[in-house]
Amino acid sequence: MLVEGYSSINAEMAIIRQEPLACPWLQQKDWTPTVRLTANPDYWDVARGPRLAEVIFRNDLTPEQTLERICTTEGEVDLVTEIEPGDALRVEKSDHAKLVTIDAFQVIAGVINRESADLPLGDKRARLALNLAIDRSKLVADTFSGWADPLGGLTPSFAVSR
Amino acid sequence: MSWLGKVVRMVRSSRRAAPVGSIRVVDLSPLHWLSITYNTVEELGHVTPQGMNRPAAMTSFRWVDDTTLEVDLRPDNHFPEVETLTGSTVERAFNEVLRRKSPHSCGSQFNLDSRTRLEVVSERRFCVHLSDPDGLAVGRLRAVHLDEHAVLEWAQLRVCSPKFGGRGLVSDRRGEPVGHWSGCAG
Repeated sequence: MLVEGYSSINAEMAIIRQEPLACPWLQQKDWTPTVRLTANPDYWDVARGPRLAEVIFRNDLTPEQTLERICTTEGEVDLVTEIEPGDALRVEKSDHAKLVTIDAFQVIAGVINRESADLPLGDKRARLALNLAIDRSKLVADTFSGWADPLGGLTPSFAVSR
Repeated sequence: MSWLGKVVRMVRSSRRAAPVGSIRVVDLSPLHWLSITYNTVEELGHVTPQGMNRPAAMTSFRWVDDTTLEVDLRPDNHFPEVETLTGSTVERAFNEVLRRKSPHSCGSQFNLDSRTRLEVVSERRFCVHLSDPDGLAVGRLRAVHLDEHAVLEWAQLRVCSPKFGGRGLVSDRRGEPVGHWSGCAG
């Protein structure tokens, strides 16, 4: 149960044209410094929980402050999500924090405009050359600090059909 | 709540381990309000880690015909302290969803066609009347957030009251309840 604070967004349509409707959504956050949840001990789905009595979301810290607290203190921040790849090593070396990794549903892909008037991108060989020119291993090492996997398509390696 | 529901509640309470502990979380995801929503309000269905639909507030469903989905609700399912989750609760939730152009702007696969209609058959049964056959209809029910009437009224006032226990406290700036139901109303 949420007993303190709120977490909301204000989403406005930014209409580019009416017909057909084309618009991005502009979202603005509106959060209290803390959002506190307490357990509903009578929830019908015992398997789902709750197991924790209380969860406090702290919205009052910047990512930099959060990283500092999780790596150097105890009792102020217990769980941080979405650590930047470049900060992962700091967490690993910390005496107070443990790095947990998961497979993320995020794929970085390039899109080639085949209709470009001044480039020969309509030619398959040109697109193949562009594709081969990208050093995926270096991209993983330099941009993601090793915390990514090269893909041959848009489906991640851990996506398994059961 | 019926006497049977009270007995079930007592048995469940006696068999389950009490929740313990408190953690402080900094969720840097821009969608953290969404995870709060999914952990504070109820839905008709949930999804397993394997991505399969699993009944939650509903116990079963059946296709009456190509465009009519009949759903049965879990008996004696109630919000903390206050009202029982019934067909009226679902109707209220559907009305909130259907009055918005794009209620799930960051998960538009959950949006229902605006021509969809809900029929409350009884306290524990309702029918969803679709305009066209929709194989994803059951999956879309996962994003129909169910909450009690008092919380929706609270959300209109934007006042945090522990009395209501606080669910669905994800509202947009205009005070409209259950936050990521965003966009233009009506």
